[in-house]
Amino acid sequence: MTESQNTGTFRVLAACLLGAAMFAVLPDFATSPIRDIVRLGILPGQRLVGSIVASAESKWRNAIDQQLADQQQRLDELRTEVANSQFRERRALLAAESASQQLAAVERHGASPFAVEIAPPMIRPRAVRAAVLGREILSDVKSRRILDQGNTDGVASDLWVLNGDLPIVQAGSNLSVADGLPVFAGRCVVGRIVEAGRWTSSLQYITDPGFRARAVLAQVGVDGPNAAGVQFSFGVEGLIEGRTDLKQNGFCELAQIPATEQVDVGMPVYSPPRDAVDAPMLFGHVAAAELSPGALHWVITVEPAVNVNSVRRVEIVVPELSTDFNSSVPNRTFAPASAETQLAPRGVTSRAPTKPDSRLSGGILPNHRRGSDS
Amino acid sequence: MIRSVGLLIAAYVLIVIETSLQTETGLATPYGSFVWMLLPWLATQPSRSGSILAAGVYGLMIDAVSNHHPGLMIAATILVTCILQRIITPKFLETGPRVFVVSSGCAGLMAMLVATFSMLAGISFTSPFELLAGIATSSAFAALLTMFGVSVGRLFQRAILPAQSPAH
Repeated sequence: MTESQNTGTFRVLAACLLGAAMFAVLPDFATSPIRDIVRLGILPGQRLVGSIVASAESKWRNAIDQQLADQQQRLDELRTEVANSQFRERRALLAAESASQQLAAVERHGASPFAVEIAPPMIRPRAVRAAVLGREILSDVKSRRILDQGNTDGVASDLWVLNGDLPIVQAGSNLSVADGLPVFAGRCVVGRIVEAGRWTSSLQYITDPGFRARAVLAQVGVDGPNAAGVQFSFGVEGLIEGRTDLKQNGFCELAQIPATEQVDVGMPVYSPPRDAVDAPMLFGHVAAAELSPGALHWVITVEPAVNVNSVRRVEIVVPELSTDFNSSVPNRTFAPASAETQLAPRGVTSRAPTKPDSRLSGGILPNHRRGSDS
Repeated sequence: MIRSVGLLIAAYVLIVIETSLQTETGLATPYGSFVWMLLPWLATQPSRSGSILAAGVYGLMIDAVSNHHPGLMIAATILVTCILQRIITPKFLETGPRVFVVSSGCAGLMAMLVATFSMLAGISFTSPFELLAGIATSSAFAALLTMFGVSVGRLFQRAILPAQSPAH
């Protein structure tokens, strides 16, 4: 390096250091414009880096969220699979227990010397879906505009059921609907048929005075972290009935529940298992429960699971005799006297109303159950 | 000339990254320690006076983004560049480990000068050790990044450019 270059370098160095010293010595108002210019020059780059970092963070979070969602979905699937497996396991255990009991019975009493054939169920419940007729149609019917037209075709007025102010459902004995049959909306009890006509029937809601049916309080217990593990335990049987003072609020009353029973607000009220139908059907939930001092029974107000005022379609469960019952038993050793003798007492197609259950005074039990219960 | 422009752009990018990291993660110190890593490269430029001038510009940029005593970083970068011009040659920056050592030495030199100037200028610290620890952490991080960058750059250079045998 030549001396002139060294001198030039030294001069530049001295000038720069002098500039730095002046930068340090000068007041802020003199140096701040220069610094502001530099900051303004850096600002676009900072914004660019900030947007890149924000975009990367957003993408990273999205990727993490997606991964978490996938894992959650997989977890849910596994949970469902586990729940299904547990359900199948429980069913298998129950089947095994039943088989074990049968085996024990066979060991205890000995095996039957006869060839055993499993007979199909004689009575099969069948649901008839029917519409609840609106007020306008009912008023037309009551004003005999429809009936007058029907008279010309030989339709008599007694084929219609227009029982006072009760709602009318569009199903009658032509669909095997008979008196006292239970009426459901899904798995919820709506009421019962009080009078079945040819094409229509009168419906008595569970909130209507005069409705009475057996019911049980259910205790809901959760077995496991999923819904498939929900278990019900049923308590003592009571009597659910409609009352005039509760009807205006859309409630009914559950009576005959002993004071020793535990009753909580919100507990579901079901029909007794294997009563009207095989599965317990929901009446509603406990809205209020009172136990007066010294009383033997609870006074329980039940809010129906279905708002009866908004129900437009209902299902009427009709017990139906299996038509191929005789033919499905190939080697039968006896034969019923006639088909009519079986049909008449159960009366699913009979026009004549059957007598209600003496204990329930009009409960929702179907006809074929009543005879056996009484 | 191209190298000088490239270094200036690199300094700008490093300043931007450092200030962004400073606000985002707090990893970098507000002393422009990322730009310090460019000083050895600046010191090995053929034009010494141009290097000193460029070091002054770097110092001005650092000074603008860090709220310290004005002129402090300008003087420090100029002096360190001048010192490095007397110490290192381009051969010191050929491999990654060498770059790491030189960058660390440069960072140490800068830290000492910054601390000394700060004390001379009467800037109050919470603790000189805290200042040095912060600078050391940031400088080590920057030196490591520089080392990896240089190593990767050399690998790319060898992969892309064919090895030239010396002329006989």
